[in-house]
Amino acid sequence: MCFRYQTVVIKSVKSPDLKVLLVFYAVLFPLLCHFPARAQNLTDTIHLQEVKIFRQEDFAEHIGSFSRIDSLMLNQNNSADLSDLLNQHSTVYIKSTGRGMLSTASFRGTDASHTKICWNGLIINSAMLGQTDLSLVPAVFLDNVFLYHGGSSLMTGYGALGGIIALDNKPLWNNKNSFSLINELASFGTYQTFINLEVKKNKWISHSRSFFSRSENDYPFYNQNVLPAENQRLKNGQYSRYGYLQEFYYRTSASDLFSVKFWIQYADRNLPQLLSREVSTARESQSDGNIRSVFTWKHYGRIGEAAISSGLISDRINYTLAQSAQGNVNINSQSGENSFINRFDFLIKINPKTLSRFQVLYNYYDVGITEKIHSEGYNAIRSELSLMAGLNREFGKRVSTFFLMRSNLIGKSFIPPMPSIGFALKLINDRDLYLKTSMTRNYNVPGLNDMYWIPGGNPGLKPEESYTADIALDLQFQNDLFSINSSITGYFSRINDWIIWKPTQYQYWAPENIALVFSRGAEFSVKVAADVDYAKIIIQSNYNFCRTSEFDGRQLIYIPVHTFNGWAGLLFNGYKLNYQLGYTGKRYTQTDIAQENSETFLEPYSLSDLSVSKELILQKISMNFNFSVRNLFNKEFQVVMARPMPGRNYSFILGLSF
Amino acid sequence: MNSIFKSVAAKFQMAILFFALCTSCDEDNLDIKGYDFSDSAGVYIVNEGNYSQDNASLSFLNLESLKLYNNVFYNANETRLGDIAYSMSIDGNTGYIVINNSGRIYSIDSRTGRFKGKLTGFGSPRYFHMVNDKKGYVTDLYSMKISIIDPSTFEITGAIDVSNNSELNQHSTEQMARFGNYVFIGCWSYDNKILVLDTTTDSIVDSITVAKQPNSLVVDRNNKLWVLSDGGFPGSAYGEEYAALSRINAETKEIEQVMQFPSLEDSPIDLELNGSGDTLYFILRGIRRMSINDTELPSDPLIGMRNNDFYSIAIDQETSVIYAGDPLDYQQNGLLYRFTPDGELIDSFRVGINPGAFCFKN
Repeated sequence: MCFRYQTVVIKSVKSPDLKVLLVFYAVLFPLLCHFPARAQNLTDTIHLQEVKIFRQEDFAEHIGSFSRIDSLMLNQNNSADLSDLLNQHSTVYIKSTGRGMLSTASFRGTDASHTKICWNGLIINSAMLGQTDLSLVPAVFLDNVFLYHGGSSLMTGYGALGGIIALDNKPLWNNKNSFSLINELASFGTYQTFINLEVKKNKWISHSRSFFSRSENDYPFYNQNVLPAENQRLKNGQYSRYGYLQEFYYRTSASDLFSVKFWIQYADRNLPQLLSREVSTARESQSDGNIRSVFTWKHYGRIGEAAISSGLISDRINYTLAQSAQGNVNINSQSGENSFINRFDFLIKINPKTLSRFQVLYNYYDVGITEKIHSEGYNAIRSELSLMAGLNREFGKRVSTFFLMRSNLIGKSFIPPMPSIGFALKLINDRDLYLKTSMTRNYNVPGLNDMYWIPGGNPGLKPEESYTADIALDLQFQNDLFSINSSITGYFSRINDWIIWKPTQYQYWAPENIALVFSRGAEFSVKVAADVDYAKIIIQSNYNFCRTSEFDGRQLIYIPVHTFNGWAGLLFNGYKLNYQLGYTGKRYTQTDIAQENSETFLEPYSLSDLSVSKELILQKISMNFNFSVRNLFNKEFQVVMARPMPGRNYSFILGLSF
Repeated sequence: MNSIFKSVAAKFQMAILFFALCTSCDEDNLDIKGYDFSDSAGVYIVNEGNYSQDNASLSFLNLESLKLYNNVFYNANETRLGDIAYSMSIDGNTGYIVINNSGRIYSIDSRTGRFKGKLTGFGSPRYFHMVNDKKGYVTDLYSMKISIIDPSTFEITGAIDVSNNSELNQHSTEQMARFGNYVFIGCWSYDNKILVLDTTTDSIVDSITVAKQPNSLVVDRNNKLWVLSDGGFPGSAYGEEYAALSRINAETKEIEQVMQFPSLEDSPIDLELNGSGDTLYFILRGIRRMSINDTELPSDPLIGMRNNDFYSIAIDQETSVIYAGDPLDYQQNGLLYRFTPDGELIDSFRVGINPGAFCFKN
């Protein structure tokens, strides 16, 4: 049987539906303008408390399953990308085809399209692919990373059957201008530089960040999929990336915050060959261009808050494959997406114990793809309107509940209502020990490629439907010496009409709603921080047990049952010593796991990283030196079959800031 | 903590070792030099595997003992076969396996499964056709050329241009069928040509236009070339038309009859001929059979679909027994069925992922 490939992109982009936009603003603007003002401090100031995973003041708001990547981790890994961060500091499983290559997230055993990435309130998943390449999100562009697990994601958006990863940029109103420059030299011809500039004046903040990254990415590996087996270096793995993020913030004296954020980025990657591939002339490459902008107005009133955001997103992907010895291009596809995304949030405190929230989302997507060699492709438009209303209510001092209902209109089709209900119980007075539980129904609409891809797109696909329940125990404890934050969560999801691509009689693949999938498991997180004389010790770890299977109990391929990561940091006298351990369990690569042998699964692996850094302060200039060893024990491993990963490698970082 | 993982890893390795020992106990024809199929007639089953997963494999069914051997190449050579094993042919005691997405052809000793040699230099090779001891042709989905190879030295000795009126476009050459000094070459992907290759001059001397996307072809006992076209697919810029079975006079290259399938949803594949050269078989919602004298297409299948449609068929040229591959869900080890020439099930075996081609060994 043969395979056809395709892709790509383009198309003239039509302007969004202006009538809908006018209605959106005509209805929502007056609400903001007439919302009574509150004379108190804006809450956008970052007051991250390093040692807390779950803050008590978030209790009412986040009684669902919720976690965050610690700000300390963001600062420690400012040369990393989002896939590294999640892989090392969360329960999310990252599937990567190689260093610097496509990386997608699996949240609680679900598919990459079931994890939504939310940037400053806007879902940035590709409307065509349904997913986001996390390797293209640099950590240095992030101030906060929040994870909404399972059904709790319905508070923020829809379609995230696994969860939502919310990426936020926040202003720091401390009136201090700052500048930092970070340079990294690393193995395999890797160089990165990051520049950060903050200029502040009373009510204004301008925050500029930029990065440049390039790598030869020619790491050595032992290739056992060729004869004779031999040591090789990765070929055709080079990449370069650069990006710029600009934020402007303006606040009025008390009650209003305006912001504009603009993110432009370009990545050019060659795609390495499979282990067994022996075509020296083959060239496969992909370039990604993204422009994302968002305007936000937040109003803080006496009885609540309101925020309105509008964003424009433009994504481009060009893909080429030249597979023959003569070098002629066999596939040349170009895809383009233009998205107009709008969000309105309205929160009212009805009384000290009752909170009501409303949300309106209106998204408009205009996408296209063209494969130039065969002049094939498709153009498509989709609009999505989502309305959400919810109520949080506390009973006494120990019980808090929430209920919300979301309803969507996709094009002209109504999606059945999506309710979510939950409660949290403070088990012991004067102790931060909470029992939380929730139940949610959610829907994920098919990606536009699923519906219109040529060949194989299936316009008759139904949305995937999920029922999710979870129960969690959260503990926080703190005294003068140490603090503990811990959470254990059990979850269960039933997903109907899971979309799977499968071969057809036409000798190409096509998607169908065929699977009924059960995902169940447990997430465990713990963080311990202790202050001992002049030293500070932090230990944190995450473990995820995940069984995701069809009705017959077979674990889905490429979903590990066990994943674990642990991090230990020691801070003393300006030195930081960090040790990172990650373990990924066995992943099946075939669905007939009963016939288990060494060819039907990928071996488990554990990886260790070690780094040491020292900060020197010379007058007003801070210098930070960091040396890291990754994959300390030089383990051979594969995340995806036939894709080699790097062995031991090194990194040296020099940071300057003032 | 690391010691815990080392302990777990050690236990894991022990489990794998134990499993490997058990497996090898079962493989009674396997020793350090590979298998011993030297006295056994049988059939190799080429399991494509999944695209970009390097999990193609080779199975062997001993037709005397009816014992099936899976992972023959891996067990005999301790390495994976590659990505998308596409076709296989045997000459003497040498088997040639075309491994499409690995861009290579492996030659093996067909008596032992042991690796003999490797040939690279292709883009996306599909089929190998042996003309004589000194010459064979290799078609290529993406290349502008058909490669000429010398099987005796296992080297590429030349190339035949198949560019299609453009530096950017080529005929996507696939299956080949021999007639006298000519080889007919089907061009499947976004194409509708049958190229005629003169083996004495190694040049394309003619072409025949058929229905879109000819995917398989055979020459019958009456010197008629039969070409099965799938007609393309919905939404294709190249266009979609009704699939068709064409009968062509192999001597004059003239099309004698075109039998069109009744629905655009009909997308037949894998035309095969029995040993006596008088009966055709192909896959379309099951396996269909027709005589070379029929002037109409069979309306009903001889053998109905099992799970999904069949993935491949082959006909034993001695017994006319039908071999059919069932991919199940395409992501697990598939099934091999054997049917009598009249469609009665004989037996079935679990083989590798996506059994896509068969090769008979005497």
